[in-house]
Amino acid sequence: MKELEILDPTAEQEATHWSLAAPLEAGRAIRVGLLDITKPRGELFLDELEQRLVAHGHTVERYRKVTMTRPAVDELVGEMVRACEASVVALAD
Amino acid sequence: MSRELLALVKHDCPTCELLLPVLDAAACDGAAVRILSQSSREETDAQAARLGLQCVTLDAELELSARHDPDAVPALLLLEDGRELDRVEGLDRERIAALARAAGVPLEVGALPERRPGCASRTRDPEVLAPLRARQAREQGRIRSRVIRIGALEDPFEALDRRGFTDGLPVIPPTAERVVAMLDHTRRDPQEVVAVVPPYLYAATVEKVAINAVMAGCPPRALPIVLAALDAACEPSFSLHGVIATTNPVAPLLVVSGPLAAEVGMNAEGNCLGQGNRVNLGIGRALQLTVRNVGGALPGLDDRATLGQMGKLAACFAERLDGSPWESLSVERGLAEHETGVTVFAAEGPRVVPDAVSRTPESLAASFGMALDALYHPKLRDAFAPIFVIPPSCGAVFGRAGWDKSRVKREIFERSKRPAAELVHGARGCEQGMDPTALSDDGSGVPKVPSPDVIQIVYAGGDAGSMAMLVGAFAANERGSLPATRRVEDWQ
Repeated sequence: MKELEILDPTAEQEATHWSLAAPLEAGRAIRVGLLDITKPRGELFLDELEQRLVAHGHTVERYRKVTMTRPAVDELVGEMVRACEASVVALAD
Repeated sequence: MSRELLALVKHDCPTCELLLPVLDAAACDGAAVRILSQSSREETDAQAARLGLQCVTLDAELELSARHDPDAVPALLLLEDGRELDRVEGLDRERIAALARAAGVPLEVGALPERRPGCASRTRDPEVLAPLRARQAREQGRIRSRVIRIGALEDPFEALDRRGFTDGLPVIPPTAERVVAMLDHTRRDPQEVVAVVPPYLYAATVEKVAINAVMAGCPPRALPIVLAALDAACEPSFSLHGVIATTNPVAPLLVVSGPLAAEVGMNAEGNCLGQGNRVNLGIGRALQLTVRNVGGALPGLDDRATLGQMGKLAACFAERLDGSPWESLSVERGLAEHETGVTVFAAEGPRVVPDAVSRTPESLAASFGMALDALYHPKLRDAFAPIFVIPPSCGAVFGRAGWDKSRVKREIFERSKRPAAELVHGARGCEQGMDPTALSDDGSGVPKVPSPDVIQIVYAGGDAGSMAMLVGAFAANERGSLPATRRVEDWQ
């Protein structure tokens, strides 16, 4: 066989590199955002998590997507970023 | 301003051989004549030795032949500062003499025959034309994709799979020649953005869609349908991101409805949801490969389907127009009868609803209503809009009774109801179910879907068999994925 030239079927994008946020300081109380994506029983997991976080002295903010079928809207993500130092997204199943 | 004659010839053309000695004599005398052969060096040298020619050179890479694009050689062109003023293709003594006079070139044409037809230019040979057109497309910026070289020792099919470009089946290597042939079937600029494709929201140009359509084995004539399908699938209300990411086994199902479907050879009849028709499968697969390769949707990473289903490879069929008792899906969705539309649904795998017994529309609607009741999960309601693919034998039962589409939908809707008490959590020995507060039962039961109009009806299938199909659609409401329709460009 001879060399074959083909055209790249991808979008030819460079991978986006995200740097990790600075680690949270151990022992310091923080504000944690819990996002319910509205899958069945997701709230059970988040309720349990909230209790444990509060027991450790942290503050919890609860958020909820309008629908599990679409990505969280930018406004909601922005709100979480502004209000919280860490977040947990419950994927339920 | 300088004028010259440019002669394009080839070694195996008898008409070229008549003209060549005359041109060669003038060129060797220092006249403004350039003689360029489209043949190889060996062929050109052998011809020169045979005819005693000394001033013939090569049209390297057929550059000037491609630029001036003659149908036939010898082609004699009158150029002024590189710009073409006139040309003669083949041998026409009087016109050649006139061209020579205009160029100020003394040509001894007296011994030439009055007229002789030329030979096809080498740029018309299929094996020459395709690479030439690919090269021109690159030079003109019509194709801009990165070139990937697959080594001589690599099997191209294995190499494409290893690079992660396939859906698990072999793909056609997307050479520039094949992509350019694909692009011939649209009027759209290859660099125009068709859609921004989830999940990573990268722009898919017409060129990128054409590359993936080649890989899918899609016939070039069906490219306009693929372009419309991608546009529809990326309509925000269709929520392609959710369709990709969900654990639910849904895939974009394309229904092509209108006269173009038959023109490009799609199957709307027997086994149209199955194998055997390259156009149906090629269109569906082209969409899926574009979503994978441009949008970046990879199974197991972005695509979190628990099990998936076969339709994630390709799911596309045409609506049957002949003998239909109803207006087509695309007409129902706002297009004109002469237009072709492609509608995308977020669909599960199809399931059969057999009923060769019912002779009345009420009885057949009852079969369909019961099938609808059991769709997705028998105890869940509301969010799962159904598509009934109705074959001729079932369509005839409704058609004879004069039921229009809205009547059929309404009757199926009524027969999909079930008492609320049977749907709640724990009922019928099953924890799955609905919250009683989410159910409203006026005594007639809770319908499967919120309203009759979310039920979709498509007419397709072979003449024999009362085998309708029911296809579930993923959360088909404004919070989920609504079907989307686009008109297919009429490119011809």
